[in-house]
Amino acid sequence: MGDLYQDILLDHHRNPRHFGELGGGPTVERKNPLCGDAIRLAMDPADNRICDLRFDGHGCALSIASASLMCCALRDKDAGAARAVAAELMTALTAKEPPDAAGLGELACLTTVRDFPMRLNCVTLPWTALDELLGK
Amino acid sequence: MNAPASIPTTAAAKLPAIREQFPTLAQTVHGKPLVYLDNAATTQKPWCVINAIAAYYEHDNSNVHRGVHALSQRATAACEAVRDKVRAFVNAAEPAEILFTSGTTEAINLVASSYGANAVGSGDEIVISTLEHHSNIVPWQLLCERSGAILRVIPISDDGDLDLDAYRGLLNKRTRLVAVGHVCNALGTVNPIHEIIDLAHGNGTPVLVDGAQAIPHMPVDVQALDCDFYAFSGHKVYGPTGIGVLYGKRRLLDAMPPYQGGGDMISSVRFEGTTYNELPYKFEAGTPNIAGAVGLGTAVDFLQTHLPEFIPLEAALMEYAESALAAVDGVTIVGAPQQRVGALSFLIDNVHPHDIGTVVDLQGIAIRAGHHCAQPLMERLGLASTARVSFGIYNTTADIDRLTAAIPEVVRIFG
Ligand SMILES: Cc1ncc(COP(=O)(O)O)c(C=O)c1O
Repeated sequence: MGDLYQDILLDHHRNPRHFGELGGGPTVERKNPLCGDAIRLAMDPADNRICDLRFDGHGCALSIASASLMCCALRDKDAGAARAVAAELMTALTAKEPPDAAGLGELACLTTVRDFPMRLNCVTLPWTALDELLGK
Repeated sequence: MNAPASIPTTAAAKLPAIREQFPTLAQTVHGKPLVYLDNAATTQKPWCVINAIAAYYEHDNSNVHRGVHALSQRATAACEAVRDKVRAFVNAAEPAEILFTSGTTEAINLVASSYGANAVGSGDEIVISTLEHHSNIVPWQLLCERSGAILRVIPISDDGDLDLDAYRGLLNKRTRLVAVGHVCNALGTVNPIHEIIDLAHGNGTPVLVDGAQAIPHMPVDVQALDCDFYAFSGHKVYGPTGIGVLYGKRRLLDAMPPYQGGGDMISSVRFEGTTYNELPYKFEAGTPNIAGAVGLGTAVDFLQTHLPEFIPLEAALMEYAESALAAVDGVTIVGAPQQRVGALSFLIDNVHPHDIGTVVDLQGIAIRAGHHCAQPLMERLGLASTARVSFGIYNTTADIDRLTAAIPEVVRIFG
């Protein structure tokens, strides 16, 4: 069983990046019905690029770290590239075989949740919000 | 901090023998001996229940009320014997007032749908409380949507006790039903159920009691309470999942239309019209959970045997847990109700309850983390979720010690 709470994950939980003050761009909110946690995501798209991606809300270490890591990973990406990263992470989280997560960079620390299926929704919460945000 | 509660010694001495009757308890989880403290969600099952279900399928399996053959006769007799056992267990006046359902949830839905169909109309009012489980909220919301009735909610104090003055103020000539929990699954609050029922009856209003969290922890006498409906689940009293009980007063049940249509609930069917069976079968459409009923009967025997010693033991265990948890740095106990049984919610500074749950699980300790299907209560307390321990007949002070010993690791990781 992998170590769920790796240092990098705990660091993003303690000091979430791009947290708070969502600004005036489009926002979406997603709730985890299991625990009532909520994440709000906001995007400032210019030139079809995500020049700013921010979040606020309340949640467990996994959902906060996942949102923080997501905001770091997707800034300056266009919508297509952001969707590709999200898809790669989803595959890494849910594929039957343990993934080669090398291409995921820092996001790879989230894949330890594979050993804790009851916590999968905590990690995916911000990513389902992203899906909706990019669809707007 | 309180002095540690004194644990009744003769009852405690029997705990190893009781624990041996539960096969699931004898395992390791993540390499540590399992500590099971999630009994409000569901209890573990003793060998006697497991064996009774297996024996039913091995020897007696058949459908009920349908065959003239020997096996059907045995299965029918077994089911009806359990009905009478449950009648005696809750001291109902007659077995026909004991309806088998799939659980508390279905029992409450049965009343909302069937009692609600005749007795609740536009502008009428249903009273529930802030302490309710979703299964004693949503069926009434659905009924209100269908009927145009209005849902009224008894508020609570910051300690987690019902505000009885406010409750008195809610009762009026439009109040058609009061539906309240006996014991709150999130905080363990024991409601003053006698007084709640007396006040409702003074207003001419019947009362449904959600007993899911009371039945495992105290004797319940529905005639002494004079409640009109009482609901509970088999799986929270050491019985199987998929079986539960609705007690209802005959006078009310007789006046209610059937809940579901099907086999067994009719006395004759013609396309011009159908006449319904008598109680309790009017409310038991289709093949019931026969093996579940058999398991429930054995579980009721088991509980009745052990309850007299469990009650003082559990009271001491609760006191022990309250003071042991409160003594751990960073831990806050949620609520301080006047009387608490079964469940205790707590928080750790700056740590999300789900993270507490996962870290202690890695130590082999099963607790519940979340909103406990009581989101309106969580909102009232200003919380998204809590961590909760809840006790069963096999828990020991050593289980609490394991939990309190695991908390510094939680604090170390997240603090
Ligand atoms: C107070 C209360 N009511 C109702 C229920 C629902 O019980 P079941 O899921 O067995 O129908 C529960 C179970 O969690 C409960 O704690």
